[in-house]
Amino acid sequence: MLSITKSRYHWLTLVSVALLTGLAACQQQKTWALRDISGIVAPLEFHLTNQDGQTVDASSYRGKTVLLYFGYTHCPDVCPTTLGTLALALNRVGPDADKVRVLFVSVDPARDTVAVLKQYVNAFGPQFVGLRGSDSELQELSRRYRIAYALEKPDRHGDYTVAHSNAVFIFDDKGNARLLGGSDDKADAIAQDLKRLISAG
Amino acid sequence: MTQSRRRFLFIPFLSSNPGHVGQAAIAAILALFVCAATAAEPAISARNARIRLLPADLPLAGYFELVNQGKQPLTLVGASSPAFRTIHMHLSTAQNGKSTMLMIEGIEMNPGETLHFTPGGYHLMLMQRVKPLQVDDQVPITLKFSGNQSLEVMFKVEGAGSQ
Repeated sequence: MLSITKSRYHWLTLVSVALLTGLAACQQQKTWALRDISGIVAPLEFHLTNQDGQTVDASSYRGKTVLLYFGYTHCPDVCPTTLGTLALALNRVGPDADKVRVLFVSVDPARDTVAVLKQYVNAFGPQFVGLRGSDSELQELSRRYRIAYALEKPDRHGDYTVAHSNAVFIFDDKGNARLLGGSDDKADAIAQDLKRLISAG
Repeated sequence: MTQSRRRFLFIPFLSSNPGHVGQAAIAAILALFVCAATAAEPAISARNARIRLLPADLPLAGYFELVNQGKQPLTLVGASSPAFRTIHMHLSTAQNGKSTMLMIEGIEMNPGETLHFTPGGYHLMLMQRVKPLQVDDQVPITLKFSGNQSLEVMFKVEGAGSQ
C-alpha cells in the first residue's frame, strides 16, 4: 500500500516537473528585452505644458505607446545619447513609430522654456514631445514614478548641471506601465519590445 | 610641439650607456631617423572626433579617441577652440539609476594607451558658441597636454540623434 502511494507520488512529481518545464519554456519565449514593470509602477498620469504651450495630460496620449523620460536640455551627454537611442529604436520600429510618443519631461523648468523645449524635441523627431511644469507639478510626478533629480551647485558663471534619473518608463496604449529601460539599453532591444507592445495593443 | 617631442625621444638615448662611442653614434643616427619620422607622424593621434549638435546655444558634447603613440605618459589637461568660449572636460557617471557629471582636471595616458571620449563617459562639454554651427561643419579644437604640448583636432559636427 505504502509502495503504491510512493510510486504515484513519483509519477505526479514527474508530471509536475514536465509541466513546469513546459511553462518555463513558454515564459522564456515571452521574455522582454527590457524590465517588466507591469503592475509595479503607477499608470500614466500627469498635468504639464507641452512644447507648443498647450496644457496636456495622460488622456492626450491615450492610444499611443508612451515612453516617459526625465532630463534637461543643458545636459550635453546622457540626455541626447538616450534620446538619440530612442530615435534610432523608433526608426527600426518603422511606420508603426507613429503609434509611439516620447515624452521628455524637463527637470530644469527654469531654463527649459517652451521655446527651448520646442527646438530641442524637434531635433530628435516628430514623435518627441517636450513637457514642463511648475515645481509642484514636477515634484508630484517625481514622487509618482519614484525618480530623483537634484540641481547641482552652480559654477562662477551660474551654469549648473542636474543629476537625474536615467529611467525610460514605457506605457501601453491604455496608459498602463509595462516596461522600464535605461540609458544603457540598446536601440535594437528597445525596438524589439516596442514592436511587440504595439502589435499587442 | 615638435621640440618637446624630440626631447622625449632623446632622453632615453642620452641615458643609455654613454661610455660606448660607437653605440652612441649609432644611437644618434637612429635618433635622427626617428625624429624625421615623428615630424610627419605625431606622438599623439586623435580619431573619430565629432560634436553632437543641439539647437539654440545649448552645451554640446565632443567625442573622440586619443592614442598616446609616444614613449612617455601624457596628461590631457583641457581643450580650447575658436568656436566655443568655454570648454570643460566631464565624466558622466551613473549611480543607483541616477546620472550625474563630474568635472575632470586631467586624464593621464600611458604610452600606447587609447583614451575614449564616448557617450555616457568622458566628453568635452562645449559651451557658448561663437557662431551658429551646422551638421557637417568642421570645427578645430586644440587638446592641451601637460608640458605645454597641444594637438589641434578637426571635429565633425553631427546631428542631435547621432551616437
